[in-house]
Amino acid sequence: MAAANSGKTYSFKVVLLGEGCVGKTSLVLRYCENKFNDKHITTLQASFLTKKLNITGKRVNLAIWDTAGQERFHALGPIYYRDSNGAILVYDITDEDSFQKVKNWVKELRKMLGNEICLCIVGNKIDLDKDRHVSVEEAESYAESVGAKHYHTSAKLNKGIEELFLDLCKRMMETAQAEERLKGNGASQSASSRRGVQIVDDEPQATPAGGCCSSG
Amino acid sequence: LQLRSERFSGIRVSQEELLCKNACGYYGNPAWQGLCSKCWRERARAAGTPREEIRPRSDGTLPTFSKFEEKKNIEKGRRINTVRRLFWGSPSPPKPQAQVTQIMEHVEKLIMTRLHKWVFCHDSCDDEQKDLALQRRIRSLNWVTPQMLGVPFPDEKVSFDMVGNAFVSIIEMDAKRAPQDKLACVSKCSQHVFEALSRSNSEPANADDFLSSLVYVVLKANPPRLHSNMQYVIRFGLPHSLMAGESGYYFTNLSCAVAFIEKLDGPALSLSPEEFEGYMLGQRTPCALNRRQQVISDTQNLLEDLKGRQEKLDQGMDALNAQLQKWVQEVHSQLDETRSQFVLAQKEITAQKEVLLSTQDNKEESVLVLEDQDGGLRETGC
Repeated sequence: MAAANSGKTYSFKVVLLGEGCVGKTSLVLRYCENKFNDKHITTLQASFLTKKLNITGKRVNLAIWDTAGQERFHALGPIYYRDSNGAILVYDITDEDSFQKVKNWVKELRKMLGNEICLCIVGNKIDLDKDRHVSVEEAESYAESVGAKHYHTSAKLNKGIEELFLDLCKRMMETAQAEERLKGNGASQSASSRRGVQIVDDEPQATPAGGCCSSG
Repeated sequence: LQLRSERFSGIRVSQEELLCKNACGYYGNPAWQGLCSKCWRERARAAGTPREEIRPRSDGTLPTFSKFEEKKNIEKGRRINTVRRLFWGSPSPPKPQAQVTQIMEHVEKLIMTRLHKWVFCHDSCDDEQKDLALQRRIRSLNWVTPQMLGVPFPDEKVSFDMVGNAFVSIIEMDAKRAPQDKLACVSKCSQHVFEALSRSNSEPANADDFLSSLVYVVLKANPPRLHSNMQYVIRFGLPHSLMAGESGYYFTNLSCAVAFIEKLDGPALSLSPEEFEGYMLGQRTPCALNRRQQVISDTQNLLEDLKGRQEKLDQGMDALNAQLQKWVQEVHSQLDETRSQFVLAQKEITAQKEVLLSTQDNKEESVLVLEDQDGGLRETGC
């Protein structure tokens, strides 16, 4: 589902991918509620969160979908990230394994959704830099090689998270705008037909007899 | 919508199978012999043309036919215009997005409530078979425990109410008619699951917990006609509520849960393939054994609990005993004190009495003298 442009409000779906303990939940809770390991968190769940933004005068509704990261749920990925505009792939900088998982997801996402989706690779827990097991250079060069952007964050210290989401939103807006322009240049009819009801009267006038009316 | 729904159900079917048999690039539909709507119509028309060609010739002898034809064309044009005006032809200014969505929702509810009995689980698709297959599959997995799925529900007794509510909500889905009402049932079920999860976990539930709990709920509730219901929502629900929004998220999770159940195997439950097979085939022995173990552990827990309570009671009794003894001692000491005070007081009183008595003796004597005088007076008075 691309952005709904009328009224200049963009709606984006962002999936959150990452292994079990990389801090996905903490990351979104820090972003949406600005809380970390807090007892006063009001939401019952951190699996579906929304955030309203205003970027350069345009309203953006961000829906953040957490996905099940356990190995046994791996095959279900495509159901989750269908029609998503962006993906945030989180790994733990102290855990080499979680970075390998990110690589798998990147491959899958590119295979399923092509280049339309904006990818963010996020190295979380930079407050634990002394235990780092994934080197900065490796991660950044990998991200570049797959056309993704790399970010360093710490949910604990609230570092880099705001930037991550803001940047992602800007990129998704650019993608959406480019898509619109493409649609505008091409067949505008077919573009609009996906969002509403369209009646195409393509009954050839050469056969005006009664039979075709009922078949149409 | 057709395009969308086909894409959605593509979870289980490969892309090639869905495409039109004419290889025109569009999606086909089994109801149209695997063709897309356009190719199917063209083919139907090709089959229909000879008949139509014959008709004008036989009717062509009538002089009024051309007029009749014209009239029909005009009527048809008018009809198309009306429909056009109905959908987007009206010259009124564009309405805000929120209002449009709201109207769409109302229209969807109205139309689908009426159409439900004709389009739900239609004969042209094999939904019914799939429903039965899914139901059988879920029934054959009735031995799965929350522990196997890693569901962090705290205690069956504590969370039972909320999980029970989740069961009710998901089963209720079959009774609703409009896709949005069905979606609302899924959302309600999810909310109950989150509530149950929040009891065991202090932090908000993440997707892993939620999905495994939802799998458990679906397995235990075995909702009627689940496949048909989900397909109905996919086919006729509003795309924006299905794809975005909270209800869309919950519905996606339900799809995931069903896909997970369909493909469930040993490793996913942290069982060896042999164990899994044993459960699936021999069912009873491992199941019964497992249950017995569960019962044993349950009773053990209960016993320990009782033991703890007994100990607490003993402690309480000891404490009470000590308190009682203390109290009795206190009472005794107080009694002694009061007794000694009493004795003192008594002594005082006796001392006072003696003093009084000595004074009284004097007084009595004088009173006696007075009485004698009185008696003397009375006698004289009489």
